[in-house]
Amino acid sequence: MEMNLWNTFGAVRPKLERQYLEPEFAPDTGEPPEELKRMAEALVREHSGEPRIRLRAMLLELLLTRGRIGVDPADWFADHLDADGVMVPIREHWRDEARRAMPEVAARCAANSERGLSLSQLDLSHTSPDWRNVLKLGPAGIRDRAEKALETAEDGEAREFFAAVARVYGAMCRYIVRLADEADRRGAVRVTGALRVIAERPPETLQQALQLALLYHHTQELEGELVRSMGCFDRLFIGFYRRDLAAGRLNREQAKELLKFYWTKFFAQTQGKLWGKNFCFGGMDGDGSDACNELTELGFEVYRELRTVDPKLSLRVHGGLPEKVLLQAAECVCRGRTAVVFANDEIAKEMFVRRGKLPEEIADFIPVGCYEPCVMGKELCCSMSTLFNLAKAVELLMENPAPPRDFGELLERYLGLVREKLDDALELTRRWELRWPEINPSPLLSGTMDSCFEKGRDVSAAGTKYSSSGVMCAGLGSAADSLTALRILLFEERRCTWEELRATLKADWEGREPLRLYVSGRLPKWGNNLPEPDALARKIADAVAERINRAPNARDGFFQTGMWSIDWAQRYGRMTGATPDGRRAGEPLSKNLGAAIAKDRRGVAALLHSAAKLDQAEFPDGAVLDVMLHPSMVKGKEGPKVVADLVRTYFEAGGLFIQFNILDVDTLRRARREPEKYSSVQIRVCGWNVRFIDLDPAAQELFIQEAESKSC
Amino acid sequence: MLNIEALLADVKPLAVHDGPGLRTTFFLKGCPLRCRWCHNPECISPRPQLLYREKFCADCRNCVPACPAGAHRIGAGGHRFERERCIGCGSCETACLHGALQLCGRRITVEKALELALEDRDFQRRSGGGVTVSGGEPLLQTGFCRAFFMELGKLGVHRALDTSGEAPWETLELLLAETDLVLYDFKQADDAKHRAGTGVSNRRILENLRRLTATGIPVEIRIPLIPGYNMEQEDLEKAGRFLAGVPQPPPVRLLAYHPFAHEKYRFAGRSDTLPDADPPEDAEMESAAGILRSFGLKVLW
Repeated sequence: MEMNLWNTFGAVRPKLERQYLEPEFAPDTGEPPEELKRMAEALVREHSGEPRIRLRAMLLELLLTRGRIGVDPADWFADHLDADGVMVPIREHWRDEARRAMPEVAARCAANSERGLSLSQLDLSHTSPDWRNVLKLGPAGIRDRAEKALETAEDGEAREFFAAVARVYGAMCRYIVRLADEADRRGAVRVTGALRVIAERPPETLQQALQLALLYHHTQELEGELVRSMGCFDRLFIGFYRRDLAAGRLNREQAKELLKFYWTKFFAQTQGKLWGKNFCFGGMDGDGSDACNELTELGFEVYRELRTVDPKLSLRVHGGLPEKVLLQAAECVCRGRTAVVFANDEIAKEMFVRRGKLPEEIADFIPVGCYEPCVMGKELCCSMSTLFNLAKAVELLMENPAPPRDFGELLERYLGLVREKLDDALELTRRWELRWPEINPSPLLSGTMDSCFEKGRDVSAAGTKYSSSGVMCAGLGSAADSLTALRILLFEERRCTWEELRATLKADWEGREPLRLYVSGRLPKWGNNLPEPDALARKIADAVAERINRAPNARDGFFQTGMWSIDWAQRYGRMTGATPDGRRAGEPLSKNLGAAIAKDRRGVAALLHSAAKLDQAEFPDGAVLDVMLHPSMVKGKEGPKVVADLVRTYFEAGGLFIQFNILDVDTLRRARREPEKYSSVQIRVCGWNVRFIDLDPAAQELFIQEAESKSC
Repeated sequence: MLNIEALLADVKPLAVHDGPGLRTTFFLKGCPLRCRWCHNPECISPRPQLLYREKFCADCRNCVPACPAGAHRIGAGGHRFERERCIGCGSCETACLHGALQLCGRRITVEKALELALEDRDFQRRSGGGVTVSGGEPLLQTGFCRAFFMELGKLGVHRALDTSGEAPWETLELLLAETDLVLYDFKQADDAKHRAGTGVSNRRILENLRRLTATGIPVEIRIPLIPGYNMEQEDLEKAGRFLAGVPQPPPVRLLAYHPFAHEKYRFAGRSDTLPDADPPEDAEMESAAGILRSFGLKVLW
């Protein structure tokens, strides 16, 4: 490659970041979106009686072969296709059709959802292709594989499936040729060669491989399923990188530049305002040996230099992970690049085995979405098929006017209620899952999966080896705190009766503020390494996991327990009335595995100890703990080691995923405005301790400035 | 031994600045020094002491009947705390649901302290950390420290003592057999300035340091760099000369002054003696380190 093509990233970065906001499409390369939309609708009308997977493949083919395209000569990758907004309305129309076809299910779903108890849905947002096959075969290879399979397909459904796969990958090849032609026309010498290769055969160079991964990503999202893992980056691309280096085609700095162009695509798509693309690093191989390579280090180096919120990185940690790799990731975290989640391979492996997966499949463990475990190429984890609000169940528990005899009975009532409502939610999810083939058959995604070829079935028809359905359980901490408070208030201290407490909660603590303050501030809370709330959290989690993990879904697989809540801690909080832990109606629930807001008063070590008491190998849909550290705890040369030691200790104790917040300036500003919500934040100022809220305003301002200077 | 008690101000788990690794630091109450820049003013008094965070007071007045000494009163502007009447019993802390009242200074047995220290044993072990006793001045409660360190020693826990050195040599010596690292504060080599800044002479402190460094027990010197007090070239040269002259000169760690303790003075009802100064800049820290290094000392900051 010519040298003068390089070292442009800094100069073109602003443009790259706006590339999807201000895209340049060549008008003469295809139809404008309105016309595409009209053509798509006509296609749907014309073929409405045909198998939906065929129709869907035709639609994707239409977009790929007729949409307008654009190529930027300054870019190392070509990927602009003007076809947004065509497929989604059609899919949503089909979803509506499905909803209308099962009115009773739809009504029950709506009722559960409106009261903030549960959500049962078809989750098309949490998938990953088999990236290895994408890169090994290329679109032409997958097309050929499907055409060959079509010749010997045994049943009609398989024939439809293979035909659809061949059609979409054939269309993808033609799309790539179109991009290459346009690149030629624009004199886009950076991309032409790579495009020509991957239109016909598997990628050979790093640039070709990245170009293909990018096009695959966009095309799958066009098909309708979000790509929520970009795979294990270091393992997937190391072969290309090493070959390039050996052949003298590329040097390390150039590889970094390619990665910067590539990753900036993902930032440009979201402007850093959505969930972020998950790139996985590190981890063990099938035989337990460490799988890190040169790209592990290079990847984190680029991430640090990019100073961006998207993509986000997962680092798979295990006993044999080199300390310097962990420290490099920890260093990013310490310096405010906190879009890193640490995953524990050892517990994940144990979890896989308990789920009947093969121990060597740990090699292909990827966190999908945020931190939902999945075996790449063998599993669709659909990690948000069901959402469940454990704190809402506490509210429902309090609706029963009959006073419980003792705490044992109360606990059984709660767990019984959770089981009953879970069963209902899972049943509703099954009903949706059965509709997947008619709502969003996915030949492009399925075409990457070996097991779909073996079975001759689309992923929507249980084509993958493991078809799992995740159940996100929100508010574990709030539920444990509530039950703890109930036991103490009703049966130990007898401060109030069942009836009084019911009335108090119904009135949102109105007139009982001293009681609320007492409960909120004085009673033991989850996340402090205290026996009672921790034991109750464990009981709830065990009961939930027992119920969910054995429940079959409607896709020849099983439901999987997830102990996390993401932003549903706030959303479900708004929909949940007052709870016995002192929480007012509408306030947020405990987030993920963590304590209720500001209730982890005994510090990080206690929080980690509490979380590690849960049997996290029973959370196959993931479980994450958020840890907030002040920059003063991790500043200087020793900082990364602090983070690394926290990660290692937590993982040795049984933690599955952990992530950090090094308090950013915005958080500190909020803390200054609302000190009561941030009372647990402690600051160690070079040999002494203060809580942030105890600092006087001038000192707070200094910390704010310090945080500001450290945040990029 | 397990029943020996200390008056404890606070415990800090996962401390990262009190010796190597992740540590559990115990802050004991009572200090013979009166450093003007003291950042733990609530640790100075050797008695239990009520901290009053006025900004959290909701004027609910639950503390008024709870106080056996009549220290909480209702005045024209609502709740008023009359510290001189307070007997440090902590009854009001229980009554105050808003978190405005907190008793600093509780009796803690060696047994209970061990329990707290060992709660985070896994973090300490993984990080090469351990337990630090700080203050205040822990040498005022040597009996506790010795028993506590002996028990920790039996379990193989790394023990650090953070001290001002202002105690009879025999007191310090008593602890050394059970100590793995001494964090030794050093404020001023000049005696007159030392008296002016801390209220006490440095003679015994310097002498103890000489004897301590002769024992071969690991020591880290900790110098708080206070603008206008000990950062002049003359101060640092004098310090460097002295430190380089002790048997086996230990490494020196510089701690930058931070004016972040103003509110703690108010909570503890002490008059605020913090110097009106900004923290030293990195360049000033490095220049101080350079002067000390010119005496052959190993300097960290």
